[in-house]
Amino acid sequence: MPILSAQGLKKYYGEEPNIVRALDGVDLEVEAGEFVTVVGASGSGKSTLLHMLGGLDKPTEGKVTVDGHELDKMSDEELTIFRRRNVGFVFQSFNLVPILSVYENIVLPIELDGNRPDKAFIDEIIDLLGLKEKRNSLPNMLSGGQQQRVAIARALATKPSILLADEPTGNLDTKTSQDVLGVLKMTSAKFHQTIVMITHNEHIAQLSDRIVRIEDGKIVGEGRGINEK
Amino acid sequence: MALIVISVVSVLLCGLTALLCYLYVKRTYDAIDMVFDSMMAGKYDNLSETAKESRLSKLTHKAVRILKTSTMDIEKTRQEKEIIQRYISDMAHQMKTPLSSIAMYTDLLLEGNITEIERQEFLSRIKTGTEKLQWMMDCLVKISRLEAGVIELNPVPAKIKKTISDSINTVYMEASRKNISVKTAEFEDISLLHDRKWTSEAITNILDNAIKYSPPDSEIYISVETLPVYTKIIITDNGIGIYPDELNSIFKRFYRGRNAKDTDGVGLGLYLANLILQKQGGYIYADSRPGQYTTFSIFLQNCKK
Amino acid sequence: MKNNNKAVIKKIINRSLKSNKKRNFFITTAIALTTLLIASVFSIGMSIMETMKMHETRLMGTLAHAAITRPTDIQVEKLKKLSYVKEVGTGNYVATVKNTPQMGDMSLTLHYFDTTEWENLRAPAYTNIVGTYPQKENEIMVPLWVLEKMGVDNPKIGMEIPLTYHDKNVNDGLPVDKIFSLSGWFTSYMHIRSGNIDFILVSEEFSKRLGKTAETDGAASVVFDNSKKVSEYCDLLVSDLNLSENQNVKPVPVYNVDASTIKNSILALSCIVIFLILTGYLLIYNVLYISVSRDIRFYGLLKTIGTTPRQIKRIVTGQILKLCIIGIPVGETAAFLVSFAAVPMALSIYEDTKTGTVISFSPIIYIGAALFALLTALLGAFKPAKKAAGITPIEAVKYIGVKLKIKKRMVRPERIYPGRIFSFANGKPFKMAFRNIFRDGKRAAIVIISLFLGMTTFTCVTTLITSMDTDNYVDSYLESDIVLINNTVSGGLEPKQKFDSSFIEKIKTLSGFESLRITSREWMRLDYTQKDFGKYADMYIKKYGGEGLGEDYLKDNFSGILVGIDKEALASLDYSSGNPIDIDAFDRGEIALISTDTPELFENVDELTIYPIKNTDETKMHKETEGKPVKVPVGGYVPLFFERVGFSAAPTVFVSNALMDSIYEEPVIYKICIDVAKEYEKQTLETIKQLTDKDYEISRRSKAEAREELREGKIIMYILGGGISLILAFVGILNFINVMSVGITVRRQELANLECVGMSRRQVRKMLIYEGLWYATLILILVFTAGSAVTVGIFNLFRKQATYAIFSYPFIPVFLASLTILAVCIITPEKMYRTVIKSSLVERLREAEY
Repeated sequence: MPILSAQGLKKYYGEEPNIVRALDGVDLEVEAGEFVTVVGASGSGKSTLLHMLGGLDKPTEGKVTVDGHELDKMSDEELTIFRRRNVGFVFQSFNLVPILSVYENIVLPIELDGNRPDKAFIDEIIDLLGLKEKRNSLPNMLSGGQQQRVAIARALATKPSILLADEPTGNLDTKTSQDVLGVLKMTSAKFHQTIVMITHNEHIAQLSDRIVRIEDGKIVGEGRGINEK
Repeated sequence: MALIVISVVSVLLCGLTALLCYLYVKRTYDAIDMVFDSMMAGKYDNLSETAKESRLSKLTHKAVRILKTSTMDIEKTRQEKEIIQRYISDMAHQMKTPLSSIAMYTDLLLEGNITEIERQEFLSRIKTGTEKLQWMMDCLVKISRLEAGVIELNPVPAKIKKTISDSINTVYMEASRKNISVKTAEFEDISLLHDRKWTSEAITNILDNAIKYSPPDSEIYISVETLPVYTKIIITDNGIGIYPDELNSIFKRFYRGRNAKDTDGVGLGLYLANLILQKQGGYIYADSRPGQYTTFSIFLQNCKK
Repeated sequence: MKNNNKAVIKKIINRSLKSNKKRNFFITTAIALTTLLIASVFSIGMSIMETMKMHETRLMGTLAHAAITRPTDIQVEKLKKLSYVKEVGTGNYVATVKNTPQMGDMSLTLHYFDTTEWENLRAPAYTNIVGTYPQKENEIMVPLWVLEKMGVDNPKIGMEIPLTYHDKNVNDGLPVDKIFSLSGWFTSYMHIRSGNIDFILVSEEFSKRLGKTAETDGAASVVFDNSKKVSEYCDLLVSDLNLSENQNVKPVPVYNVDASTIKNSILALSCIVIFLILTGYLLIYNVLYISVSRDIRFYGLLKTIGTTPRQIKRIVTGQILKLCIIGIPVGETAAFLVSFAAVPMALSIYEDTKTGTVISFSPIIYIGAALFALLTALLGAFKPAKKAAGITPIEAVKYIGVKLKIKKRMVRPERIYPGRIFSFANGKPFKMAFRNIFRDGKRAAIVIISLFLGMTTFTCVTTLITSMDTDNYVDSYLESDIVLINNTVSGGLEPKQKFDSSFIEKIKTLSGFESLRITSREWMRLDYTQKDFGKYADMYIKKYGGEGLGEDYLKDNFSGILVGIDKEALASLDYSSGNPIDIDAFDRGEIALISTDTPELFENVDELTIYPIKNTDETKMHKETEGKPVKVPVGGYVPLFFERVGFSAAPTVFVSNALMDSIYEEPVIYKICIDVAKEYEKQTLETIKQLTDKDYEISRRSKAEAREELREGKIIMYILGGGISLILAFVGILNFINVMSVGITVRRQELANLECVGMSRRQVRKMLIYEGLWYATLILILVFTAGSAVTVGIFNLFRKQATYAIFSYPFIPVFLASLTILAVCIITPEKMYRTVIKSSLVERLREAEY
């Protein structure tokens, strides 16, 4: 059973005749533990797709089911709590809370849910992502790559079943991108996470299990990634 | 009088509090019970209670999560088993070609009625076949052990220079036969988290490939670059290259590139290399331009300071 | 059971606060100011109330609600047990003091109070109590003013006071001389109300020696548990105590504080409080709203990660609450300190302060102010919190500060043609600035409105203050230079002729004396006929009600006030409504004037038949004296309350003094108005002061004193009004600075883009200053047009209350305020831009991504 599925997903902006079809009937299924990249030119609707999958935005039509939950049936508050517990996000802009330290940023989703962070686990992640020294720094003191690693750490902290990444390396130079991607891949493998990642970089897509190509709001093809089994 | 009223009121209040507490506890237990019931019935996907700002919702969420994790583990084991089975059948299939050619040449040899030149030719073909089988058997053992988790890689901090030079030494003979020089750029010998024996194996496989698909008298470059989390080992050759649409496939089992048909090989080396890297938290990817170059980048984790 | 995730919210609140120091400052200041102002208003209000209450008790001389005459011991014991009676004290009359010539006109009695009566009921109504209640037989305690009249200016405990007293049961009613020893003194206020009636307190022993007890000559005074049910309880007492024939229950007449004055004050104060809440709300709302808008990414991010709308609301309101924890105590402390200065000032405007003022430090003030300030802050936070909670993650992702399309990717300067941009910016930076202002219409509106409101209020208040011409005020309220009033005429006492002919002669001989008008006042009875007064009687009965006021009663008791005036008093009357009065005929005593605002009621009255009567104190019955009725034709009407004379059952009638003299032998003079030559004004005032001072039966009003008082009042008004308008202007400017600076901070990236495409810093700066100038211009245009209109409108409203006000536009303060606004409009963008350009261009460009 797929952990994530989208059926007939449509998202229209505006009205006829100036309607923008950001998504125009997308069907997608992602199996648990899969690493899927979505590639496409900018404006192809890939970010919109990701927003729908993460419950950040509501589709005009269609259904998104994540881990057995139908997102369209949830209220804003429920969606937020659902995200907090089940979905990790990594964005192009690093999206760290500027007023919290690295550690606090990482444990934020855990604490938001009123849980005590599992210190050993968090330390493991921090260690794994090479953030040990920056543990107590504020985000603005970190380099782009470091910030993105913190964002990944935060996305992993709640052990979410799904990790959604929107061009996580979009703002990074090539070397740093490779570094950050490695981290993403390694950690997801280690913690058995399902990853849906958006990128327009084929090299990066190469690292995934499956590549979904999207064009003008429609899936135009699927390719196999390096790790297809 | 007042005393009596006070005591009656306080007794009533106590009673009320106790009752409310009882009802509360009962309700909570009932709710938990219900959650467990539906999970036991396998209907946990329908539990909408997991996205509410309440303790019960959180509890349900966690219970569902535990259950799912364990199902996922079971699923994973099943998948691994399947992979091995598929692998074995793939293997059996792949073995057929060398085995049948060995059988054919052995038959021809046994028939006699051949020239010395032919005999030499057949024998060397048999040798190639057996070598291929040998290689396949080696890989089979390694891969099945790795895939099945029989062998656990043991990534420990170790100096990378030794690992790389071990690999170069392994392929040295092969390289010199084609007069290919393996050049290494100057780099700092840092400690990386890796299993030296297996990593060396992976690098050897990549070097093997590079030598195999490079023209004679060419060069292979190895350089090392340290990133914040990973250290990247770059191996570049000026061989036949890989078509872009195949870049994702070359790490698959028994996959042979379109322009690699003329070269001997079984399509297991890169697969094994990838497997080894993955097993120790590293990764690998390739970049190429057909007819010009091929670059393999190997990423190994730096030691945590 | 709730999911407990407060800790992390708390952490975010604290960190948010830490990273928004400037915003915190604004909000805390706003909260503190709101608290300060509300607390001050409450404090003034409470102090007025308490002062009035104190005024009341001090004038009554007791806290008691009622008194039971001649109570028996059993009744007293019973009283003490009644559930609705809180305190019972007893006291009794002992003897009457015989006045010495030196003491002049006063009614003193010797009185004894028991301990409860003295300590709990009487002492609180007195001040400056020195010494102890008389214990020994010859000890007395005397009010200070009495001591002064006796010629004792420096009283000492134990000094000898000789008194002569008499009583009908003592020494056969003959006077007794006795030397008393002074055991203490106090300031009493009772005589102000009662006209020189007061007590000298004696010991129990002395009272007993003269055979006086509460049962024979005294009363038990009681305090009930509810001051609102006095009359109800009084009725209860009659039945509960089995009062005998000669006993009665007398409620203490509450000194009538004008209820409508208090109501109006409360109304005015609540209006001010609402206004303050509004301004505070505006400021807090504005600052927070901008802060939230700027932090859209932050809140959107929090929501993405899983912060629920409710938690986000808590984050916003939590910050406000934390700032309240600082702001409110600061405001309260300031209010506490200010109340020492502001409250007495404000009180001196409201009340005559003869009985002293109280600065109220009631906890209600501070709790109330804190609550209202908290309410203001929460109100201010409500909408921004809602906005923050409603931010969707998508919005946050897309948010780039202002609604202006900014290219996401970095634009390389050389790719753009710098010349074109240059010429655009170079040619018309003020146009660009103008467009920038209205790019965010809502923000522009908030800035302009808040500063406009502040400025207009400032102008209004200053206009009102400067328009209060004191000389005008004095002239409109006081008809003459010095006015003396005989207090015994009104207030139900026996009228005394305080201004006898020798007194008047004395005044006439004063140097600089110019003229003197006399108003005399006596009681009269009019002949009642249904034909003449039927309509009036119907109206009167309907309006003032009361059974027993039937026609039969009126026939016999159609009594009223007859006032004698000089013809000059009529000069001020306005004849525009027609019906002119023949002043000469009036002067000759040929006509009488009816005091009414509805002359229609007297259409049928052609002639009045006036019977002179004398007012006797005790029974309030107006017994006819021997005197012949006089018939006078009605010659016109004067307004009700003309010359500030009240009315009784019959309408008040004005006649000339000459006629008055012919009706009554020596009519009691109620009021004399003296006009003197300007240069002698002070001198005359001094002489008259000496003549009348310490005589509480004469009150005096003079232009010179009024001017003096008003000058103080004006200064106080200046300080208070100026303070309020300054604070308002400050709030407006704070708001403006805030909006401006945020406007620039938010656009820093856009500004960086402009720089990127070739706009020099100097040009950017110029553009920003133009923006400020535009704001200033728009605001000032509004202030001078709409603001002036509002000011004139408010002034005209005010004029209806204070006719003496003369419009004068406060040019200098408005000019200064305009300068300040201009300065702020220019300095703020400049200063903000400087902080912005501290970071490098590239950093700023990159910020868009973060």
